[in-house]
Amino acid sequence: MGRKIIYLSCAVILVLHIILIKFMHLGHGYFDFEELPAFGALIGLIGTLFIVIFAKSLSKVVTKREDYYD
Amino acid sequence: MIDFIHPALILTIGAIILPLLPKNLRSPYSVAVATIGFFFTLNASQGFYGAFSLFGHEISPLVRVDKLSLLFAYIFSFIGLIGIIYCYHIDDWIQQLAGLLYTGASIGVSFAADILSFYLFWEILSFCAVILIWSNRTKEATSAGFRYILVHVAGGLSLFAGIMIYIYKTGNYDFSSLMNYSGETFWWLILIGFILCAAVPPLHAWLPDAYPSATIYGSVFLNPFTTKAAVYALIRGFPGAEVLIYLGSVMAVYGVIYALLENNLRRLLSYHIVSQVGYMVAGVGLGVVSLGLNGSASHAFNHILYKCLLFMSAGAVIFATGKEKMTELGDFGRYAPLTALSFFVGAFSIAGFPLTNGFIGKSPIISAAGEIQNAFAYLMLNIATCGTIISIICKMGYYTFFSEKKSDYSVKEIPINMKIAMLTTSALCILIGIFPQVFYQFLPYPMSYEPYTVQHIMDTLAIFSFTGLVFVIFLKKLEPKPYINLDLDWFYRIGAKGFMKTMDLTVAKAEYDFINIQWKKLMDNLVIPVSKKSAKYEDLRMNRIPMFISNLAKTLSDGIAQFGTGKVQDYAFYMFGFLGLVILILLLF
Repeated sequence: MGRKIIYLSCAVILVLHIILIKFMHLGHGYFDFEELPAFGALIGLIGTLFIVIFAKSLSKVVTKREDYYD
Repeated sequence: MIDFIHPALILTIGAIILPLLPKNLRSPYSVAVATIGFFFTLNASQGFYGAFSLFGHEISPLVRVDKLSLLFAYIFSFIGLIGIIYCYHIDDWIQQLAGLLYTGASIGVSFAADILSFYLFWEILSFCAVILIWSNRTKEATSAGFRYILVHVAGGLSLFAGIMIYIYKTGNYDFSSLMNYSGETFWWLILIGFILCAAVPPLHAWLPDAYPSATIYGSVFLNPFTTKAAVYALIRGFPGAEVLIYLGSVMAVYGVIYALLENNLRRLLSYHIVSQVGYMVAGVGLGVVSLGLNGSASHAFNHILYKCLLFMSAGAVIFATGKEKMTELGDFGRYAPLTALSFFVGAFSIAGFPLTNGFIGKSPIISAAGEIQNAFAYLMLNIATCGTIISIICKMGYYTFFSEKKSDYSVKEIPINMKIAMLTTSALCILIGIFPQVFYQFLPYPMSYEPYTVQHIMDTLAIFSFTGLVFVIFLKKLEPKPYINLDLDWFYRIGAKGFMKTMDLTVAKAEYDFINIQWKKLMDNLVIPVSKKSAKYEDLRMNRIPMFISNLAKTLSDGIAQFGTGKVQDYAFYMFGFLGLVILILLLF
């Protein structure tokens, strides 16, 4: 149920984003790379993946048992 | 006619009287003091006050009230009041006293016009923080408090050295922008003192170490003051220092990466302070356009509101269940819907959802990065937003308030005063988010900025939904685990142990094996035989003077010994009391 809402909202926002920004020109970015279609979605996806993967690989080094300092 | 009464004076005097009152009056009294302090701050009018001379040096003026310091003073005094309401039900005057003093000192920092009184209030901040950490009265809190004070003394010394060189070289005492001296030694020393308190990596490890060790009321007081006073100091002293852009952008991402790994509720929130202050530090660096500085100020203001809200709701969870690890919680929303509601208001605010104050608070910073075409800061700050969403709304929200119950906890009733504090703050978070222009007119520099543009709203919504998408994909992988994560405090925690061990093996051994034996030989062969001989010639009359002196010394030292209890807490208290006295004298004359 929860998952379906998220999939649906992703699809709706993706489409809306492309229509409003790309075709109706209702906004403009500061950089050239923001001209990519649905840049917000792209950075949401890539940024979060980056954070998750970075955190998971970092945890191999820094994660220890709770009594580590005792 | 006195035209200005310093709110810090009211809060300090009010706090000192607090322990003298009967038990049942202390809570209402501290609320009254905090309220009066808040109203005096609201009524403060802009200008310079309190010029005087000390030891032949003109120190003038002492108090500066302008738009920047007012904005910070408003929020400091308001959140002090909220914190005092939040801990209305407790029977522990030390925390209420420290809370009031802490509020007063941070208002003092924001109103200080000269760099010496600024430094004085700055140091009181650390003392109050340590008292709040120690009032948890556990072994862990005691050692965390010691680490906190050691780190802050180091930072304070750097700041003090910088200030002394600054005064010596320039001959003025004003605390204003130091950007004309950019690159000089004292510039760096002062900057290090400030960024240590702002918890900029690699000088940040004290924050997630200390804040979760305090009481739940203590951490509500701890989180707004020290770091945001540092942000104020950076805005005042280092507007547009380019190094801050990169420090801040890296810091914003660093904080959320650690937050994502955390299991302890308040440790997770502490890493979010690191991340959010990263936005503000970057904003100060982007301060060549007024949008950056305004963004920092507005983000600091709004951050204090939602961060306290988050700490208050995490505190309510801990108060009700006694658990503070996500691996032992779950499904808590069922028992305390109001706490869950205020948590999610705070969580959506910190992530910057439209119609919350987080959105309007940090938008100017990101736009400033765009305006001066700094792609690095722009991308890093947007990535940090993704990390904020996934670690706080998704991870903490889901595994604390939903998901299945992971341990069999019992739930206590949450007191009404905690609920009032949480709901007031939630309401403010939403109200400021809906009426940004009303809030923007309090910002220190003139700007015309509209956060609600189509592009901005669509980008934010897209970031939110796609972050949610990644979360549901990785749901199993992101489940909290009962481990801790090492941070840079490892170096001084393990380093101190290593130092002790090295000393044990080298200095202690040398002292024991070599110096002691030589000393004994000297005593046996020379001193004792000689003194035995001389004793024969000594007369009782000759001994009178030494006897008198030693008796006098004993009487005196007995008197002093009552103060010297050997506990560092007590010494800190005396020093603190003395400092308070000095400030009172300075302010009164």
